[in-house]
Amino acid sequence: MVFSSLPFLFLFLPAVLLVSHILPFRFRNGFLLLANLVFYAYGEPVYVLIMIGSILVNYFCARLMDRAGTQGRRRAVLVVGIVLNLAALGVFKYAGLFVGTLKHIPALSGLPAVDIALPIGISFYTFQAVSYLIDVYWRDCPASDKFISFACYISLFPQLIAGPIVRYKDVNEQLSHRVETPTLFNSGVRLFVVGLAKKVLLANQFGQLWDLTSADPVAAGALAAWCGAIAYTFQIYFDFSGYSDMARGLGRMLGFEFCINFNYPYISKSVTEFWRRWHISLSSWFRDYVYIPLGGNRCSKGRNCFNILVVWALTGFWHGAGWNFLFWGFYYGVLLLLEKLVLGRFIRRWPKALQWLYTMVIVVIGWVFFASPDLSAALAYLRVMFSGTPGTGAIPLVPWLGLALMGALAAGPWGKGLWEKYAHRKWMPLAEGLLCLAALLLCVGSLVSDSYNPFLYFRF
Amino acid sequence: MKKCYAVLPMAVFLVFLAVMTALLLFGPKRDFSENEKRVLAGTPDLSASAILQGETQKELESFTSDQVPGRDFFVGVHAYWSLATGRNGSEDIYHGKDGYLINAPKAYDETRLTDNLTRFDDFAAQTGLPADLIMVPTTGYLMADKLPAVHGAYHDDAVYQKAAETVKTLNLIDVRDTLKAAAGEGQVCYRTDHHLTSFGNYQLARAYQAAVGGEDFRQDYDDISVYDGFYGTTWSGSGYWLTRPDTVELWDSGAQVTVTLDDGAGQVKTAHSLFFPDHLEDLDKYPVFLDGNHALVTIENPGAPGGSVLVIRDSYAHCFATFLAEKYQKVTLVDLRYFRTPVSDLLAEHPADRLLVLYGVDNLLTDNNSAWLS
Repeated sequence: MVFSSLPFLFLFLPAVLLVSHILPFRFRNGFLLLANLVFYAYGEPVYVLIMIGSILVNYFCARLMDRAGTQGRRRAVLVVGIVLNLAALGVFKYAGLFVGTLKHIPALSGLPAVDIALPIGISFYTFQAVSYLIDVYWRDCPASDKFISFACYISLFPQLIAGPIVRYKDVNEQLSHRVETPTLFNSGVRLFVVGLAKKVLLANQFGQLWDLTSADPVAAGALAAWCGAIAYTFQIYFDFSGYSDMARGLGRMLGFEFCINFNYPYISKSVTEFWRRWHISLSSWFRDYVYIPLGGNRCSKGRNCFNILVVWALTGFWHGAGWNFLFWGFYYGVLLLLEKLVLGRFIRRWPKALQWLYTMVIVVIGWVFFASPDLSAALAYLRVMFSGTPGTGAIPLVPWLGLALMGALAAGPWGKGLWEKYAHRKWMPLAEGLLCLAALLLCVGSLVSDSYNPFLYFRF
Repeated sequence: MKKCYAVLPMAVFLVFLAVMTALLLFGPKRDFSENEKRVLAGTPDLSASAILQGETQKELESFTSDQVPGRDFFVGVHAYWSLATGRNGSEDIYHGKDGYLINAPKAYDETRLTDNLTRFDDFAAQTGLPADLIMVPTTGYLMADKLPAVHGAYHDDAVYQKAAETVKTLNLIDVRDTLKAAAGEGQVCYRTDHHLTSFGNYQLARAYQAAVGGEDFRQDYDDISVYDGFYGTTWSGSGYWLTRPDTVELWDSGAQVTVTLDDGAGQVKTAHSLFFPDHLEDLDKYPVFLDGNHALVTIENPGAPGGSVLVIRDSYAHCFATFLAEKYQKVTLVDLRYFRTPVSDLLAEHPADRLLVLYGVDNLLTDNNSAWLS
């Protein structure tokens, strides 16, 4: 189930909010676990078993680690746990890609094709589970002795399928004790509605332009191809950050506080800054559980470069099972290294507008690799962008200007600044209430419109 | 009170969710959408096997979107929001000037167009009958001054040029200038529907008669009845619910006709009028002409001056045929979207003196049912 859908808004969410606020607190985690399983099984009626398997494995691994007498045994359990987690990810996410690639080798062309559908959210909950095991190993957090609250953590529906990647140590306390106040709920509503509007009114709409230009970039021509790539740049941001906002909003409605995942990445003035602002919970996961254990920057320059490239290759690969994602990761790894070693000191002297433009061009090009089905499609698209191909002019671009303007305003911190400036004015709650209603009407309008399907040659 | 006011967004959100959910679950259900002309989804199948296969989930999506309270209102909200944010020129239906809702141009699919034209032409050659081709231009082409500032390019001229190059047997009757000129005298295209008005069809019928050397129509029809409140299919598809409705006019020549309507699946009904006033009760009143879409329609008018004509056509001919019936003793209309018997067999059963192929330009670019001819 996705948040931006009518069954979620008008069936699942009202039921969860109603029941979870009526039940005495001691039953809430149990109910929430049930709700999580229903939420997940709605989209993955069979794969829900894999998630339950993951919960069991990680719960007992941590318990074992807790009881293991020696450091060696603790480490052995940790390794087994991590291997099991990564194996599940490998089989369900990457097996198809690896086998498909191996089949290109003549001697291995007889391998059976692997066609396993990706279980939704497996990348997110696996990473949460791995962070939990490592934190328990490092004694950063205790091993959970309450199965239901642990299961609730791994499967927590607000952040189950698109993050943020929440760490057990951050919500451990909230699992056993949550303060629910109208003010917190109200701020949750605000975040949720903003996220919903980002997803439905912006991301989905921008997606239409990218779909048009990427379907046939040569016919679209250079100008439309640039507009399409920029539209995708908006789409992915509003889609992903909208989802994170909704997750954080839902979390607050249920008494949880999740970390910020996006901090206006498109105002960045360097690639390094961009990655400090984009998908923060993933970057910090890789920093804490891969980069620093590898030695981070407290090592030789060469080793540091290697560490950075490993982290970025993995980051790219985490985003999708495709060689274009690996390339996309390397692309950023190399750029970050360049900024760190050479470019950084020059860029700092440039005018701010130029710094921003440089960053955005790199980001937009990066998204072409990310959004294309494979590397050759990405290169073909980029060729059109940079070759000045005139195209047929069949895709109207002017109608997208209004949306582009809204996107540009919504991607920056200006709205937030305005809100903070007037937050304490008397009329603010009224303005917020009206905006909330308008956003809900427009979002539901857009969702309903998608299904509006006049059958004009109906025979009576 | 002050505390409640501070959490107004929360109150708005919860009330909105509660009202929508309650109405969705306990409110009246709609079986049929007149705007969409389709049956709406009902309560989903909740069996375990359906859930495991994901069928229930799909049905639940359809159920919630079809039965969501205020469905048409929400579609309208979205349409006007897109319009207000400047998206008009990228929609499938343009919000034009003076209340014109105009279909955006269809992609120029030259292969499909040539295939269609060649099949019609080959069939005409096979029959050996004198045969004509009328291609009804799009509203966007005819009413170019009503289009919004940003719009796609209409391909009517290219279609006409391609037709002139492609057809050998069919005589292409160019109606573009006639209709454009007529647009200065009266309303040629509906504002809320893609078809031509009765006045437009009258002009089309005169052009046809002139091209085949038939008797011209009267200049003054004394029996024209006018009905308000016509919301055509362009309106239904647009979501622009605030557009004012069209009027539909029935131009009755007073001819004594027998109309046989065959739906191609064994249901045949007979009537003695070209008009079916039951449809005047509906929002979409266009089916008042010959009862809307049917596989095969025959109109007999023994008192007419002309012989018989077989028309291979789409829905643009519904109204056109009401004029043709005045001048021909027998008009046979075949709609290849529904007619599944070889048309040559039909011709053996209903011999004709002339053949006419009448299609809208849009359908020539998109429909491929002409394949049933060969």
